[in-house]
Order: sequence, then structure tokens, then C-alpha cells
Amino acid sequence: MVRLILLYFMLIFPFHVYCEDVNLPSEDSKLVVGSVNDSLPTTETEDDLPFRTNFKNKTVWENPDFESPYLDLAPITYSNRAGCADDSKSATRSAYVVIDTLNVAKMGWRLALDTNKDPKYLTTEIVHRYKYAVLKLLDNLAMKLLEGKLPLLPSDITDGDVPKRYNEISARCPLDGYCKELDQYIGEVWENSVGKNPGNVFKVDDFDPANSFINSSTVKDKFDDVRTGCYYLKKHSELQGHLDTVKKPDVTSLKKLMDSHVKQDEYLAACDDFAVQSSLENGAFLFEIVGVKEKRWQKNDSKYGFDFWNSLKLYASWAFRLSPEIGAFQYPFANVFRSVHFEDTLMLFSNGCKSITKPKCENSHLTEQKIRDFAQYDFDRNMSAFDETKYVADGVTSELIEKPLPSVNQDELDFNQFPSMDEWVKNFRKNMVRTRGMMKGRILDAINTLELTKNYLSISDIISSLKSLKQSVDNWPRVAGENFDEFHVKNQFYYLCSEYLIASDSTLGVLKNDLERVKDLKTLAHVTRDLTTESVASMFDYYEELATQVRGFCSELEAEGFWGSNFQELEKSGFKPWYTEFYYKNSVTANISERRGILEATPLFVHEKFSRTNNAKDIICFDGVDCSRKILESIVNMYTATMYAKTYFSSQKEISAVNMANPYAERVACKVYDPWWKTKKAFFNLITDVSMAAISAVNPTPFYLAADILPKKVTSFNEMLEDGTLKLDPKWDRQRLVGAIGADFGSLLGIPCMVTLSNTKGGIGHLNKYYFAGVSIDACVDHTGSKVIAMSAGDVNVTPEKSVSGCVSCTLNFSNAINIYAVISQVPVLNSAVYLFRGVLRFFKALRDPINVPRKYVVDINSVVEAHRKNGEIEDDCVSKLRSGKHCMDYSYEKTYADFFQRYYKMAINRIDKYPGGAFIYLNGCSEPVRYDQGLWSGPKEKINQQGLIPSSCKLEKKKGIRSEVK
Amino acid sequence: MKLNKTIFFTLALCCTFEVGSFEIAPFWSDDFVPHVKLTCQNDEEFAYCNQLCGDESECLIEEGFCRDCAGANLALREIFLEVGDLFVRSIYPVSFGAFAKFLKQGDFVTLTSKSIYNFVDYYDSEAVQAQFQQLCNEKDEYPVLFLKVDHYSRLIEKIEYVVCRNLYDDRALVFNLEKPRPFVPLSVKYIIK
Repeated sequence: MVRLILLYFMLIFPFHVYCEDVNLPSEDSKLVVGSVNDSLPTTETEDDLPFRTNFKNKTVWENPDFESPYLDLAPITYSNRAGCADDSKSATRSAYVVIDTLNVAKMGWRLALDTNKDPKYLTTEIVHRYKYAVLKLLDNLAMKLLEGKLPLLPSDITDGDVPKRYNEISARCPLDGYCKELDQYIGEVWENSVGKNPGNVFKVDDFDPANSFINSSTVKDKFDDVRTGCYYLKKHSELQGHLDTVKKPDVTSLKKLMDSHVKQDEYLAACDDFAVQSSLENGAFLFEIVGVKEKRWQKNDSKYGFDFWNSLKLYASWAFRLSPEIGAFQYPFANVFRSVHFEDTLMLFSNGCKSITKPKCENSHLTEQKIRDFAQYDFDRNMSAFDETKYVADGVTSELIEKPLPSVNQDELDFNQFPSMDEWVKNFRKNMVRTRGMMKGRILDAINTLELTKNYLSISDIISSLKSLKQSVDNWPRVAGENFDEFHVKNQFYYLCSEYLIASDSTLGVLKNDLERVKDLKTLAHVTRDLTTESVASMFDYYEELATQVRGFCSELEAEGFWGSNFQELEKSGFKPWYTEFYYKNSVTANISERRGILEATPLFVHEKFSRTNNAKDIICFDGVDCSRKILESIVNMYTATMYAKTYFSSQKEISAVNMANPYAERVACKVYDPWWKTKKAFFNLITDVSMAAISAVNPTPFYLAADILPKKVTSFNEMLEDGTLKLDPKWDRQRLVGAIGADFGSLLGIPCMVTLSNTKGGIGHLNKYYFAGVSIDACVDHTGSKVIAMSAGDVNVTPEKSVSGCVSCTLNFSNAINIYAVISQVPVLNSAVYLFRGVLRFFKALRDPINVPRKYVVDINSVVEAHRKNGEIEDDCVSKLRSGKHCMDYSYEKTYADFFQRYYKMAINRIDKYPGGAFIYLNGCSEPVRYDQGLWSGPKEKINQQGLIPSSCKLEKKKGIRSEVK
Repeated sequence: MKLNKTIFFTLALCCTFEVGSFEIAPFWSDDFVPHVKLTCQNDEEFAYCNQLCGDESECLIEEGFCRDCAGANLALREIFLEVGDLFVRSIYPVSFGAFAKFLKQGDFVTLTSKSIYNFVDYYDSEAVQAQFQQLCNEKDEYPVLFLKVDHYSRLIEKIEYVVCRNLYDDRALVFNLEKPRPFVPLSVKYIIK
């Protein structure tokens, strides 16, 4: 009986929806030549063939002249929120390369003036050469890694399988500073693998022959070669449309994609086609690894993929400056380019949801992702809203907690706001450089002030000055000076004491622990190293000692009633900007132009030349109050720069790589968002429902039990300092199991009412009333009082309060009728069937969640064009195949030939005349058909060519689209 | 050391200096390599040149690259914006021997207000010129800074020397650069009426 009911419902409900949605392209879907016979059974023998009259099948392309040259692009993955979040754990094969050549252009102009050359000409030349050198470098290194010529440098040194010497050196290297040891190590590896002394790389380190090298023959796709692809991006288009939509691709969107393919010249160009690259300031490129089997790329938690990108970044930094082979690409500007801060001119970011660097829940990783803020079209207008621009940042984790569910794949990077990608990059870099300039200014001032005061101004001098000032007020009105009055002095002391109270008091100072990060973190060390030989820690110690004494001084003032009862209202604008931002939330604007001491007197601390110039510019600080407040301000200014060092300051040892398009990368790493939670919950509910069905089958009672799980919610992060970096450990309210018990009085009293009791507010939705209820009336109470609670299916971020609730539900519906009938008639199996039905229904409804259940659709853009050529249009029947990354062909042999000729040779098929074991294939660009025989057509392309099976009239690769390699 | 003919043309455009009577000229050669040229003119100088490069009358020293100097370099930003405020030259010039030894090691880069690494202002801007000129005297348009860099990494380590033109005899001299000590000018006194 149960089976019958299940069968009935299975027929009614659309199971296929779920099956189709989770379909990813099968890695084995590309058939080998030998599989042709399998798809076309025949009784004829090969001896009878080929005779045109005996062809079993003739496949004619409906639209063979449809022109849209092959694009050597990796398949595009469309995903919803959960799918995108889940993808962040995988390594990408497609990345944007953003090159900023503004400084290179400036350098070229100056060089032209120095060498008496035409500045315009030389600047253009040098910019083009720089872009070329960078792209050629990436291409060259990628191929050396993909072909197993260079060993992989693991991205995660905590993983057990790491070459010993590399592991030790990496552990010793500073976080983002230059690492000489690593540079020398890479030099040795290079020399002994692809340099002057090849074949000796195993003497450099204990590389594992199996795991330290990519085996191109293992990772490559059938009928394909592993290679890199590179395109200059003219304009954002549907070719990157996966960044703009979370919807399932349909006929309309596939047609748009095909239109972009047709108009490819409007959107793409060859990487080294500098004639179309008008901007001398920057350029955006698409860099891809093509011809790799995705499943193998992602093997062992994407180890290959992540190690590949990590290696590429590290080798690139070394080779750009020190490899003669790479230097050849820079000719004749190698000596100029080697002085460029290479890592600062280049940024990689993933084209989609997958990652270049494996996301980690660490402050440095999280802050690096904040670079995506600079892509905002209206960054200028909203700048103050971004945490990284504040004087006192809240910290990157606060955004994770406050905004756990940002939007994704809806053009978050504002590509569509700009007429060209050049303009997009220009805006992005402008926002970044301008904000960084502001941060640099703060750091320069801070370091100068701290270094000078720490080395040359004793704390006792500062405190003496404070006491003298205080004494002068006590002697009022005998003390006088320009702009001097009692309230002005009292205000100054008030500012001093308030600022130090907030910043450094151990009980009331809310900032004390935060500011200590300046001392503990080494994230800014590579920046401050250029400015001072003093350690930031020693400067912080100086500040701490001063703070203790200033607080003591302030306590004395407070105790003796210094400000008195007649203290005039405080002029709030006199506070430092950091204070007005932090304490008054910018409702008060600090008057930062004020630069004078309390009294007209000899300033306390001056530059040496002040004695000659008597210029206010040469005064470091005027008096004890001014000096103390400046020292504190310097520490505060260092704080945000320290916390967000990765956002602003490029590493000196590797290119930065950001997961720009996927804000869920850090949320998944920090466990703020679990892409599989909704799915797990659906399974949990299914199990409880099935269990209930089983219980009711053997023990029919009017009482029901139900259970549900509620999501864990991260409430804060434990911060652990490790090797100068901040590691974050999420703390959450624990995942709660909620239950409910219900009694259906319908079975006892003959009225269709039930009562439920639950340990959560609102109870469990499906027990309050039947899931498929018809007309119903509900009334619930909880401990807070009587009210009607409307329960929804619930999103993952709904966190019910802890409480107890009870409900009365009177329902007139089909299920109740069956339920009553079932109990009365003592047919428990029917009652169970109802439970089972409800459970299954609920399960599939949960899985249909369009946002929180991972969905991914892979579209091979060339297959879309191919489907159009084959069928004359994109048909509805094709859509599900195409969004699973497959071809849309009638027969499997068509797929085989399409793979072989259209992908491998970039030739367009017009017609196929099939015979068992082979076929005649008519190709655009060939005056006679190509005979494809499975017995002969095996092995590498070169062998096939040598066999003369391709007529001489065919010009192979004639139909290739925009060139994807850098020549 | 091979000297490209075009170097001479370039040299004519560049500022030149003498240490004693040494002539010192930083320049970019026609094939875009930074150099410093030293010319020796008398017996005493011949010895220095000979010691430096094996040639009595003239030495061409390749400067090598300056890692991360073209970009967001805070140290260079500070130098171009504030070098004259933050540094003063030593009272006495350094010995030619010490300077020649420094050059021979090759671990240096030169900076002038015309440097291609000046990203804080436009090429040879008045503001940057003024900063550099504070280090020497009003007659010297283009003081040359010599920065020590790490032998392997080529990262800037410190500002080592400035080459100035002597005010009295128009000869160039090499000085050390140092950060002056700021100070508390007087004991804290306030004007009390």
C-alpha cells in the first residue's frame, strides 16, 4: 500500500526538476572515437563500406554557414548563492588579470625626457611592452607548471605533503615582506629544473615526483591539449554573464550568450593586440587554463589547482626580476621593468565563484578580500561607510556577522556601469590608489611622530609640560597669551583626558585591546620597514608608558575638581578626527586646522631647523597636551592601517589574488554560511518524517512527535595571534534541536482540531497545521503572551528565540479526514502513508529552494553556437543539455566528431555521412569530405596529420576565433 | 667597459659633478640601462679610477635595478617630499676612497629631482627640486643622492651620500646624510605677565 501511495505521488510531483538541477557535466561524456559503433548498431561489416548508399545516418547541419569563430574559453559556470558559496572551496581555471600601467607610463615619459626620445612614442612602447611581458610571463610559467617542468610550491604548508626545505623557508618568511631566503630558493629550483642545470631539482628539495609536479597527460581532457588562453577584455558582456545572474540559463539567456559569441570582436581581442588597447593606464585580461579535466583539477580538495596558482604567483615575482629567459620578453626595457613594484601593478581575481587562493578564516585573508569595495561605481560617495577607510575600524569580522547574506552574482562589481573594461579598471584603481594615499599619509605622519618622540622626547618632559600648564591655569588670571582663556585651557585638558580614557583605560577604554593590535600584528611590518629602523612594538611601548602617566594626571585633575561646576559647554569640534568619528559617530566634525599650543610660549618639541626658520611647520608638537594627543592619534592612525594592511599594501613577494566576485568565500571559510545547511536540514526532516511514519504504523495514537534543526549563527570570533597574524575562530550559538508534540483530537472527539506544544516560539510549522492544509484556523500562545504566529518555510538565517509555545489548530482538510478515518478504522498503514507523503513533499519542496540549495549550471559557449548551427536555432529541448555543459546533438557520434573537429581543429562541420565504424565529414574550408575511421583515427593530432587523412585542401585551424595565446 | 657613443650625447643633457675634480654623472644609456660615469683628470684621481674600474681616466658603473622603486614606495615618497626637511648633510665631505669603495660594490642607486622614480610630483617639479636643493646650496640645481641597496634583493637600505657642488670653487663634494636630532629647545617656560 505504501509503495502504491509513494508511486502515486512520485508520478504527480516533478522529481526531474531536482535531478536535472544538480547535473554537472560528466567528465566521461566526451566519447572516444571507438564509441561510435556503440551508438549506432549495425549488421553491416566494414568491408562493405564506405558506400554513400549504405550510410546508416546522414546528419545535416541546418545552419552550416552560421559564422561565429571558435572561442577558446573555459566553460562558464552559473550558480546561485549556495552554489557560489560552495564553489569558493574549489580552484578556478579562469582569472581576470588586471594590469595597472600608470606608473610604468609615468616612468616611460621621464625616461624619454632623460634619454632625449619622443615621450609619447616611448611611453606607448614601454606600456605595451610591459603588458606583453607580464602576460607572456604568466603564460610561460603556467605552461612550465602544467607540463610538469617546474615543481609546485604548495599553498598550504600545514598540509603534510610539503617539500621540507620549502616548508621551513616559508615558515620563516615575513607575512608580506620581501623574503630573501624564498627568492634564493626559487632561484635554485628554477636553475635546476628549467634553467642552466635541468634535471637536478630533486637535489634542491625533497620534491615528490608524483605530487610535486602536474602531469599534463593525466590532467588533460581527451582530444585536447592543456594550454593557457588569454584575451584582452574590451567590454563586459554575456561572456562573463555568470557574474550577473543567479538564474538557471534558459533559451533567452543562451541566445544572448550566443549573440555575444557572434559579436566577440566587440568584447574581446587577442591579449597582445595592442592596436585595440587604447589605455596607457591599465588593461583587463582574461587568463585561463584550457583543456584540463575539471574533475582532476579539483582532485584532493583542489590541491592541484590551488598549488598551481600559488606557484604561479611566487615564481612570477622571482622570474619577472631575475630570470634571463623572462627578461627577454621585456626587451629592451628589462632594466627599467625590474625596478617596478611588479606585485603592485598586477592583480588576479577569479572569474566566477571559484578561488585562486583557498579561503582561510584569517584577518589577512579577509581584509585582502575588501579590495572588492574599490570596484564600486559610487565608492567616492559611500567611502565613509566602508570600514577600511575609518580611523577606528570595527574590524572585518563585524561585517561578516552583521551582513551574513550579501547578494552575489548580480553584478556586485558594477561591470555594467562602465562603457568599457578599461574604464572599470580605471575607476577601481583610482579608488584604491586614492584611499591608499590617504592611508599612507596617516602612516607617514604616525611613524614620524612616534619615532621622533620615542627617541628624543622623554615622557617626563611631556608630563612636566602638562603640570606646568595646569599650574598656569591655577595661577589664572596672571597667565595670558593670544587666544588664551581659562575655558580654552580646560577644554584642551578635557580633550586630552577623554581621548586617553577611551583609548587606553583598562576598564573604561573600549579601544585598549584593539589598539594593542598595532603592537602585536606584523601585517604592516613590510611597510614601516621602509620608514624607520624602530620597531612598531617599541614605539607602542613608549605610548603605553605615556598613557599610564597621562591617565594618572587626568585622575588627579578629576579628583580635585579641575573643570569645576561652571565649566562652559565643551567645544566638541576640538576633539581629534578619530575621536569624533568613534565617539560621536561623525555627528561632530573635528576642526583639524587648529594647530597651536595652549599658550603662546616656546614650543615643547621642534625640528632642529626651527631655531633658524621659526616656522610653525617645523614644530613637532607645542606642549604636553599637544604632544600626548598627537602620540595617541599616531597610534590610532596605525590601527586601521595595521588591521587592513592587506587591503592597501601589496605584498613584496607575491601577486595578490582576490575572490572579487564571491563574498561568500570568506563567509564559508569562517563558517558564517554553510551552503549545504538547507540540504542537510531537508534530509534531517525527511528522516524524522519517515521515522514518524514508521512509529505510527506500529503504534497508532493521536499523538505526534516532530523534530527540526535550527541553524547555527556565528555571534563573534575568537581572535588568536599566531606569528604576527590574526587567526579567527568563530563562536556561535549552538545548533538547536527543536521538537514538538501534538495531539489530534479529531480522532478522539470527532472534531478536526489538534494541539501542539513546542520548545520554540511558534512551534514547528508543519505540526501546527498540516502541510497541505485546506481551510484552517490557528491560534498560538507563547510565554510572551497571546498572539497569532505565522510561520514560514523559513530561511537559513531565521533564528527563533528560546521559548515555549502552544497551538490549537482546527483544520478542515483532506489529511485530517484521512487521519481521522485511519485511526477510527484502525488502518495504521494509511496513517503512515500520510506522514510519508507529507515528509516526501516537504523534502522536495525544501530542495526546490532557489537560493540555499546549491545549484550550478555549466555552459560551454561553443556548444551553444554549435547547437545553433546544428539545429538552426537554440531549441527548448537543447537547454537542459547545454546547461549541463554538454552538446546538443541527436547522436553520440555527432558529439565525437564535433569534439574532434570543432574543438581540436576549430573546423566547422556541415554534414556527417555516417557508416559503421566511421564517417565522411564535410567541413567548412575543405573542398572534399574527411574520412573519419575509428581504426585509423587514434593517437595524437600529429600522427593523424601524418597519415594524410585530412585532405590537403583543408586548412586546419583556419576557422579559429580571436587568438587566445600570447605570441 | 664598453661605452656607447650615444652616452656622450646623453651625458651632455645630464647634470655633472666633481668630487675633488672627479666628474660624476648619473644617466640612462640609450639601451635603457642606468649608469654612473666618473671621469678622472689628474694623477691622484687616476689612481681612484684605476682602483674603481681599471681605467685611469674614466669609469662607467652600471647602477643595477632598484627593487620596488617604481610604485607605491613609502620610503621614496618620503625622500621626494621631505628629504631636505628630514636630512642634513654632514659638515665635512667624505673621503674619495670611501666613496669609490662604495661605488665599486655596486649596491647603490642614484636619485635626483629628475629621477624616473619620482611618482609624488611631476618630472623635475619645483617642489621636489626645492627639497633636494635644501641639501646643498643655491648654486646646485641637481644634488645627487646615493642610496645603498641590498646586494641581492636590491631593496633600498638607507640614504648614504649626497653629491653637492662646492659653493666656492664649483667643484663637487660628497657628503654623508644624516637625520638631525629634533630637540626640546628650552625648559618649558610660559610667558607670564
